[in-house]
Amino acid sequence: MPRPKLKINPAKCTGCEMCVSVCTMVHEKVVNPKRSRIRIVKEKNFDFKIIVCMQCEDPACVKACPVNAIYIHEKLNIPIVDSEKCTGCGKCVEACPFKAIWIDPVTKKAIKCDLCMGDPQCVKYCSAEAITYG
Amino acid sequence: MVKLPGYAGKILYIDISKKKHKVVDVKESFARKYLGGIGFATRILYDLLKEKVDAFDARNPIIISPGLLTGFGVPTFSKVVFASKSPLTGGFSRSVAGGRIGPALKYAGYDTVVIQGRCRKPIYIFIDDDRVEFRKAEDLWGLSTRETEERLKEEIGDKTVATAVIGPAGENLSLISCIDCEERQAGRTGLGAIMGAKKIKAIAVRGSKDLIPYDPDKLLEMLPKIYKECVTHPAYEWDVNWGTAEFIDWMNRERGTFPVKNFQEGFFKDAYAKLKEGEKMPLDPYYWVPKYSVRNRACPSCVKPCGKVFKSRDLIVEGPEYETLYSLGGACGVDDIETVAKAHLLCDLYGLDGISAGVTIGWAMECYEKGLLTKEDTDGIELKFGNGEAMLKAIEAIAYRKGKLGKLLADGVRKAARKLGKGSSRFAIHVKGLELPAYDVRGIKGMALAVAVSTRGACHLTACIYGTELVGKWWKFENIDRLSAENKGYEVKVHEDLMALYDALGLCKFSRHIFFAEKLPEIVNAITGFNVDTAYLMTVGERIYNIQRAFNIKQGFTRKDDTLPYRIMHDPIPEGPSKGSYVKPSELRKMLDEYYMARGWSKEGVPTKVKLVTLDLEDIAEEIGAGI
Repeated sequence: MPRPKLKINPAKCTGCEMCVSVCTMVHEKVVNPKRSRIRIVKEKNFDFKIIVCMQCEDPACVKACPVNAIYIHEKLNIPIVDSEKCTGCGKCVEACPFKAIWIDPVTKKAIKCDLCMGDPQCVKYCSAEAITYG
Repeated sequence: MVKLPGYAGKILYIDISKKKHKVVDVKESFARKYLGGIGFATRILYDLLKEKVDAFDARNPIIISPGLLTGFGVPTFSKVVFASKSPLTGGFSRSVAGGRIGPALKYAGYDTVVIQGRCRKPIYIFIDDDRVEFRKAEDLWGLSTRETEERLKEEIGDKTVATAVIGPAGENLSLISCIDCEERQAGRTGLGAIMGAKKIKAIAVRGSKDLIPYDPDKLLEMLPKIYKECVTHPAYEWDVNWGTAEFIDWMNRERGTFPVKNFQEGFFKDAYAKLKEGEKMPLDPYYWVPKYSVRNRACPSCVKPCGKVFKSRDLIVEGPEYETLYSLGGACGVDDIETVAKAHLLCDLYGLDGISAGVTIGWAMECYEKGLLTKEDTDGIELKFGNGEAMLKAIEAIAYRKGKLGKLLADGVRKAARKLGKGSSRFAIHVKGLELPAYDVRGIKGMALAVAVSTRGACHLTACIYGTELVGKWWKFENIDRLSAENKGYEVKVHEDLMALYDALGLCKFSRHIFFAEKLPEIVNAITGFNVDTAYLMTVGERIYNIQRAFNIKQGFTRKDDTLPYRIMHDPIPEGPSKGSYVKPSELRKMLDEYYMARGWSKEGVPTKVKLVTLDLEDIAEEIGAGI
């Protein structure tokens, strides 16, 4: 079975970054874009890049982790970070082809999109429908 | 000290003369009294400039103050206030932008930044959480706003830093220059020149700290409801599909209050006369959006994006929007949409206020047509109404103070008319030096009062009353007659207080139909835990507005400055649905009396001691010598 993931359509993105703030509110109950599991970058000509985990079939982050802190979640079938095991070494960050895994500046652990355990909240606030799911 | 919930908790004071900074905690009493955004900025500016100083004096600060809710990701709460003493009006200056720099400052740990001093050589300031760096910007000086933003992000090596920059217009101290926040502007009152005089080319901000609401669970519970209200409101489709100019045809054909050719006409007669049956007027988004708009662009945390990205050949710009369709369109008699978009882009790249630039050029066009300016004065430019190429050349001349024309127009219409003389002040369309926005207030008398009294000069956003007046009802107001000068004092006062509150919270004024005042306490309380009600919040708005008035009084303003352009008070709208309407001087006097009374000010427009004490501003009452 292919892994579930967010579908992104950057051409529709308006750059509002609602997804970014909602992501950190839901996960951390604070707002802090540097702790978000989804990021928006303004490029030239009002293009916006949406950076979020593509839930690779063969995830480089899983392979790169020296302490096996990233595992495939049984139910969700996506890579998830076990923050208790994670040492924050950053090997996953280096390995990710989409640059969609980060080290949280507060906890110093790796963070990536976990699809809000199956009910991604960012999708609900993307009025432009640049991020969809399912 | 425990950090105040809902606040980043610090105010950053920067002295660029000494290249030093200090950080001061936000006290709870201060936060409750002024909330944030314009509230913080107003009080800080008032306290810093107690005497009359030149706007380019090193002591005059540039204050950057995101709204209380800015950064929390609450839909449409995203604005950041820039404040200073305006070099254009000489009075209180507020300019509000939907820039990423507002939220970024919060994440860096600051509710407000105050920058004083001046440098000899160009610098940019990089605020990176607790670190404040002063970096050389000689190689950025002269670059357009867009190039500057790109170069900054390259140099810092992070495309996510937020920036506020000036273009050549600000560097050349044009009094109608603006500050550009990643192609959203703090446009009005000439703040680009304040940065230019300080030799600050740009400010870059990166933050990685938590912004913590008082009651996160309550906020999470409220977010879906607020989101739903935004996207299901009838105005959603208008904003998203057509942008801010959705009603431009209605303003022309139903109301006749769309100013054309420097307020010589109240609707775009020439443009409509050319149309064949069923065709749309070229400035109407119903015409140009399907043809040229490639995507929408939003302010931070806005779910109803009104920015239309316009693309034509090698030109790409966010805009035009309602105001520039007037100033760089109707006001100059230009109805070619590609030219208007080009003009809008030039203003953005040079860092010019598109409203002020267009109105100033419109004035020059009228001078040219009347023979008060000749080709010799315009450096050979055929500066006639409708000549789009001439308008584009004039914009460039203004930004670079180039030639005779540039030198004449670079400081806005008031100064230009004073320099030229020959009776041209009679059709210089400004109040307190700030050029009028896109409403022919001769046919919108409550708005005429609002632009006359606004603390920053002719402005549509200080009271944001045009909708109420033009539709005839809004919020607690009904049966409003736009052509009457009766009972406007209270109406203007309440709108001003509410809008000051919006600027304190960082809420977009395009969302006023969704939130009014009554929906705000629940949100403010979830963020801060202040447990305040609507009346309390409205009082904060009133308090802020009174301090702005007190600031202007200390800078030398009197009742005489609460006036309207000569044309608005003497030349009736010649044709169209508002034909014959104008604001007689006697009507303005009456409206002013009524307004001051509604405000609890003296007949001279000075806040009374009673009013200021009621607003817990006794210190200010003493300082401005308020009687009674």
